[in-house]
Amino acid sequence: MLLQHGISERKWLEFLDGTMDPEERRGIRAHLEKCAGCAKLASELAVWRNLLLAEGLRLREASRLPDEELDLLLARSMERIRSAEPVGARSSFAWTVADGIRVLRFLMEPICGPGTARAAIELAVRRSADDGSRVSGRNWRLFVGNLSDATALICGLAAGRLVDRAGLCLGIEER
Amino acid sequence: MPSRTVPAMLWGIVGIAASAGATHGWLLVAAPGSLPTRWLQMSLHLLTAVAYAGATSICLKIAGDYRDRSTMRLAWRLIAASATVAVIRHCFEWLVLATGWNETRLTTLVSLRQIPIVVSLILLAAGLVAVWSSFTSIGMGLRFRGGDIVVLGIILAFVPSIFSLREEMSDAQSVYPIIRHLQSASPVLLAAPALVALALHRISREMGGGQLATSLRCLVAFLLMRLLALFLGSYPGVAAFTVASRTVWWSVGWLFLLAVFYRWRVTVSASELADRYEADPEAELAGVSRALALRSQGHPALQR
Repeated sequence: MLLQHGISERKWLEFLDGTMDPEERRGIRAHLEKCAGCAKLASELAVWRNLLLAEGLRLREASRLPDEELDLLLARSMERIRSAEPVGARSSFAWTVADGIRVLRFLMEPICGPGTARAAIELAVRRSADDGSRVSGRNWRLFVGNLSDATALICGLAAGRLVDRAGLCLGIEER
Repeated sequence: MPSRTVPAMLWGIVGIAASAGATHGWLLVAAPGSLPTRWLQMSLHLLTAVAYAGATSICLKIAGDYRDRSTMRLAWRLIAASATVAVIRHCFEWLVLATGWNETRLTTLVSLRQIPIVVSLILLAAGLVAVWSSFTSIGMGLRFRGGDIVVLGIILAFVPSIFSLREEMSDAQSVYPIIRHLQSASPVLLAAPALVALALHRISREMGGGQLATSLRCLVAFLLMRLLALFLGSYPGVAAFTVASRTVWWSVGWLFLLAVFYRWRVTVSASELADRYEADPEAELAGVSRALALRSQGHPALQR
């Protein structure tokens, strides 16, 4: 049983699944802001969870395969899980700038299309980046503001608000 | 109502309107001036007015989702105004049929319907140019392909072809010279939005998908089908053209409503998602993290 600062493994899973009682969730969020150890643990758990979910899905899809192929697939899945970096870019608590842009593009694409998302991001990068080509943690907030403006210009204020909220809650400028 | 129910319902109405339009076209050929023909035409005018009234309401809501003094807000207001004028036009046409003026005052009072027709087309063209202009500000809709030039040529070819048949048009015998001029100008006025439709089609291709692209595609179909309906309607002597023209004409109003509805859905989806990010950002980001992990590992549903 993984128990740290009174938070059980079950509670961590509920927290990551988003099924936790809102009051308890607020408590854990407040704790994570103060406790670096628990924040790191949450980050690691999020990565493991994502990997397991992905592999589970892959295996479910492959369940109709003959036993030999299924065994091979299981072995490969375990290998992938074992070789994964526990703390990485995919963690919901440790986003890099590149991941942040990927997340925003992922959110925008179903609404305004991949082409519009790409054009708006390119425009926001040009307007925000120091050297005209790169966005860093330092100018992330400016980038999000510019992307929100470009999105609002085409898709409306609601879509701009979505980009703004999602972009800022990634917390990239703090890193 | 579930997000897929309304579009499915609207597509169903487009189909019903097209069927009713085909019936109307057939009646115009088989029993022109008969009571069923008149009743069906009156019903279709009212239904089309309902479609444009619905579109007006949604267009105004869409305009409200843009910043004050933005080009896109102006665009949607112009499109809303165009739809409002279309409502007036169809209500007037219904009144003409209900009172029998189409038999007694065809070249006088009835011919004044060209005014709302022209005003609506001008407003629509202006609104669409403003939409295109907004997209150009982020670098979209500026690069055209060889195929676009071909379509451009086809659209432009329609204009002289329809113009040469202007004497066959409904209000060509109006006693008012201004109305006759307006009627003659209608091919050009219909071709102008169709040309903008070409640019919007290019933008929808550049988008590569998404709800906004679906809306633009419906809008493009609406604009091109209107031109096609006018072209086919210019040959009243050809029965098949009359049926096809009425089929297209009576369904385009609903197609316009569908286009506008798809655009409104963009705002609703974005707004719901933004609310979720405000309420619980961690849970949402965990979901995105999961989806991105699946995408990076080749899950087919998440590949773009």
